[in-house]
Amino acid sequence: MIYVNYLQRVSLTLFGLLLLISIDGFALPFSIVPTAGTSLPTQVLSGQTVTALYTVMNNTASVRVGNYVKYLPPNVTQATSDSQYPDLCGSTFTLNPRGTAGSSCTLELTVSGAVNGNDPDPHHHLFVCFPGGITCAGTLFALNVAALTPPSTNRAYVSNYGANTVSLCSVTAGTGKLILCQDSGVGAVFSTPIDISFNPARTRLYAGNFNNSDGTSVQACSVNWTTGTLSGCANVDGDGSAVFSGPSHVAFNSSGTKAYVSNLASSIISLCSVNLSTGKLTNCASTGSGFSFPVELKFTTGYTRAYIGNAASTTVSLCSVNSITGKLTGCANSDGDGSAAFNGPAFLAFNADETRVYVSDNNSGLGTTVTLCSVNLVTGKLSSCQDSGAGAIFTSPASVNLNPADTLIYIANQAGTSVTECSVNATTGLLSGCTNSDGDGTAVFSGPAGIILN
Amino acid sequence: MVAVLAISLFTSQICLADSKQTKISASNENSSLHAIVSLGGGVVFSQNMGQSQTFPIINPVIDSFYIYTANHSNQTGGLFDSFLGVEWLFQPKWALQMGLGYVRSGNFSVKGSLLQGADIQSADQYSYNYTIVTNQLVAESKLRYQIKERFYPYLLLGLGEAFNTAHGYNTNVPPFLTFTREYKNNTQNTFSYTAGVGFDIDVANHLRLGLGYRFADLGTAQLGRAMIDTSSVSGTLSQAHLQMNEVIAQLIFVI
Repeated sequence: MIYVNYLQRVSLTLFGLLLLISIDGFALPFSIVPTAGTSLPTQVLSGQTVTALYTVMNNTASVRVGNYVKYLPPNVTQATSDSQYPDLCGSTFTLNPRGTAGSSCTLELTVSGAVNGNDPDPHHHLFVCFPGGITCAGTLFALNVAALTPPSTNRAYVSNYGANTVSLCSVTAGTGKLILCQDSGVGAVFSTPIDISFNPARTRLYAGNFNNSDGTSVQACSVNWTTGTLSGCANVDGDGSAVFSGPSHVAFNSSGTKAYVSNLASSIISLCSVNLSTGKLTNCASTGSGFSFPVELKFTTGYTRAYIGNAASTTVSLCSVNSITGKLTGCANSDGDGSAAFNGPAFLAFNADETRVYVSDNNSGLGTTVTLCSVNLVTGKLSSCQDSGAGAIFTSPASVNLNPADTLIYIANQAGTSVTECSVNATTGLLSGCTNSDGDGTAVFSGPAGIILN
Repeated sequence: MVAVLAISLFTSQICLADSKQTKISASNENSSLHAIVSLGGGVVFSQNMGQSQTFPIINPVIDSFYIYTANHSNQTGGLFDSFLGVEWLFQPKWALQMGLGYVRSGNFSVKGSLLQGADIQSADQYSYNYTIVTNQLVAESKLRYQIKERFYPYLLLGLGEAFNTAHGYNTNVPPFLTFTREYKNNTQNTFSYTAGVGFDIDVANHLRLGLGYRFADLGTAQLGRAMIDTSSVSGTLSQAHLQMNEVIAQLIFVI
């Protein structure tokens, strides 16, 4: 009997050792890892959501029916319907044996607030279980998300294409006038910055060093939420791949893990990975096609579509976005009815419900108008494009930007010194009452090209 | 058990038969009855701590299997011993002590490996441990014989109850990666017996020193109700026939 017990112990120990050696970690009933090509979000702005994608794989040798998510961290919910992912894990889901088709599914989680990855309560961590809830697996890749609250004071940042600087202004409540404009704090560290943008967490401001088409770098500066000033501007090339050709604009996916840099001089869009800690860009590679002096890229419908203004043509490109890889695919003219023909379209602004878009007819210093189009929410195509109602009052209009309430729009006059402010008709979207946004004599710029509100 | 009872009866009969005709003298005392109080301590040796157990898959849709393989380690601990009773001199050289004994033995750690999984392919190996503490309360009977006026070799038998507490179940299963069986603390009351030999020696008028060996069977020790996450599940980890070998030194007060 003792001999049998001894053999049993030896065999089980050897079996365990073999297991540990063979799987290099834990086997568990499920393996739950971040979906390939995606990164887990680390920050979420208050009032907004970010998405985390996991791949849940059946580790057993048999079909598992009725699996479900038993526990999630606070501020996290499971999305059980999303047409982007045909293999989305439902409220309950079936997985085939490991190593066969259908052995995994994509678990989409929506994060609406802070998540403590070190929460000592196991019930505040992701667990996926067999029916009954006693055979379960968690993940080694816990969500750890910080909730950020941007400053409540309204500020506007304006890039001065002609002075290599970025101005920082206060936005007057009600009238929207720009006042108390001053240098953002870093001086003329930029090189003919065309457009500027925040990362989704609004902790960094990115600006392409366009430098008359010869620039190759993108800079990022830290944003002081208390004062609004910038500091620590530096080249964001993280691995030698973030070298561009006339970078004009930087856009981000919702989690801030991917950046899209418009290379105006080479007419390509670069897709880069973003180090969320340092803000550096790595693994940059071309994505999408058919661009002509691309400037601003804007996402709609949950980052499934991308619009790119082609400043050297008459079109705005419309691309699909692969939600996992982030790549732009199927890029084509966004014109849906023959009316979407612009005059050097460079910058875009969508209203909150994404039914309208304003396109600046920049035309390399010669444009004077902003065009207003309707957006087909099903196809994404633009139609019924017309003058915005403001008329030909702009001087090479560049960045267009709506305030959060969609009641005011700002248009930077790149060939001038001002930013124009217009009222927006809530019903028609047409602009009226356009005036200089300068509220106190300080909102005088040098070739204002980009404008963003914070 | 039967043997123990027979010996107890036998010694009792000797006492009754001899009490009428024996002039009792021992340790310079005139009375045939003495109260005895003893306190002692010692070392306890346990063998094969832990018991391998398997909780198989009952419902393959929801269950995992759990295979516990105990290390069966030999352990040494401390013990505390006390006794309160009477000593009856029923022959010039023979005496019988009867009374109530209490023994508490030290913490014994049960350790082993745990293999759990929904099937072999998804199984992982971990370690587990828990602690057993025993308290034994027995009716003790000690038959001693006098040699050269000061030395008293004896035989000891005891019957009673053991209170075996199993507690502090712990595993290295990562709490954020999977669930496993968790066990409540539990105290098990079980029949227990003790048998031993030794000798006492007079060191003063009312004081003896004793040294002895005992074997104790403390019955079963087992952990309490098992839970997986928030669900109760059947079965628990147990150790049948918790057996100890004890070496005890005693200070005995004869009153």
